[in-house]
Amino acid sequence: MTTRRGKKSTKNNAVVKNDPAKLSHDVGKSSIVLAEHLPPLALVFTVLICSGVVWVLGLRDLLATGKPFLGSIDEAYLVSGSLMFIKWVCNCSLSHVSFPLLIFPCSTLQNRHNGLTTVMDGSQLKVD
Amino acid sequence: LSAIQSKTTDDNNMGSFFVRKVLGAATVGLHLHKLMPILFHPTNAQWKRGHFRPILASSAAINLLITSFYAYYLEDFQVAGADAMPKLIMGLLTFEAAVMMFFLASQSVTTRGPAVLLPKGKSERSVVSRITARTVMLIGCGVMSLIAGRDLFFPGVVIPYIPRDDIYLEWTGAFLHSPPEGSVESAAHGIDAPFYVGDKFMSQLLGLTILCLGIYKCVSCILIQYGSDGSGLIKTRMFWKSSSLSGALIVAVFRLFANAAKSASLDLRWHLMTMAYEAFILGLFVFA
Repeated sequence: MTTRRGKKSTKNNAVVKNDPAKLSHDVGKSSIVLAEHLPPLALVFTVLICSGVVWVLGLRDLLATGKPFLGSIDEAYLVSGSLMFIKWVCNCSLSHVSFPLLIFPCSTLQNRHNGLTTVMDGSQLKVD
Repeated sequence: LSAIQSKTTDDNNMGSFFVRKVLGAATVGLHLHKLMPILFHPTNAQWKRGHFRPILASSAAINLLITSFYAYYLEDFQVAGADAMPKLIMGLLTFEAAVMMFFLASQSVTTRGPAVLLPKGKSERSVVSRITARTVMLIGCGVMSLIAGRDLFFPGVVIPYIPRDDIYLEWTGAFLHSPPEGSVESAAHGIDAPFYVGDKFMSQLLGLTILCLGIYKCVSCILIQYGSDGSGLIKTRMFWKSSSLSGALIVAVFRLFANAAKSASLDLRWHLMTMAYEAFILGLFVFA
């Protein structure tokens, strides 16, 4: 049997010696399967790693919505998905407010509307 | 999944939860289109005969589309201090697209298999299945793409021909993050709209993901020809297996939210029937 790297497999050679009639058939079939059927290993591993990670993130969104599993970067991403209004706060030149203070672990109607009270006074914005 | 409640209230905000769950299901289905053909490809699929080329080309294009969308919102993420994750996703998808395009370019010459006896009424330029082509044109590339395209490019705009579309937009929170100009919602929520830009991002990402699923369906059902060697059948089955599974997954999520939507006067039965029919037809041609 020809392996992906073109080396001979001893296991199938033994089978072939016992049954010479199968020699051409098996070797031909195996070489077609391995050399022509399979996509390149580099492509397989690239898709497995790249799409695999994003697939797992999608599965997280489906089964465990809002629960981070990749640490702080994942948590920041999930929180920003609900409360990405900090850009608007920044545009109001509110530099003295610590931004993480504005971010709550879960988004509710209360912390959207009452926890962050906005008072527009020219370009100023106050946070209660 | 146990967090899904049967009634929608202002506190539980089931509409936004629905958007995130469906986004998860659609993302799983989208990336399943790449993983399944590569890892569990059909036994008669051959790399050297170019059976993987349609899936690779469409996947590379879709990866770049999703990366572009994240890049569009990257400034918002940077300001929020949450740009690490989008950059990771963008990097992964861009690298994968580059590798796919490299293998597509390096495999410029493909061999054609021996000619096969074509079924009655088929030529080598025919679509593989007219039934699936019609179904997908009506549902996946039709109504679903229309709604997903609206959510992506014109969020908050009511399509008058779709029954209860305004209730769907209200339930999913589109009137909060994108109230139509000059409308009652704009007067009521216009000042609050920037607070909901995160919801807008999720809604638009869902629209893009559904559109990308529509691209896969369109490529498989309409653009791939039967071929003199019958290779179209092998190529399309790679797509259809993933498409039917992803369709079934999205239908399951819709079904879980049916009661919550009904309590908000949104009837999801038509959505369920059409999407389930499409998933059934695609699955029938693959698994039967």
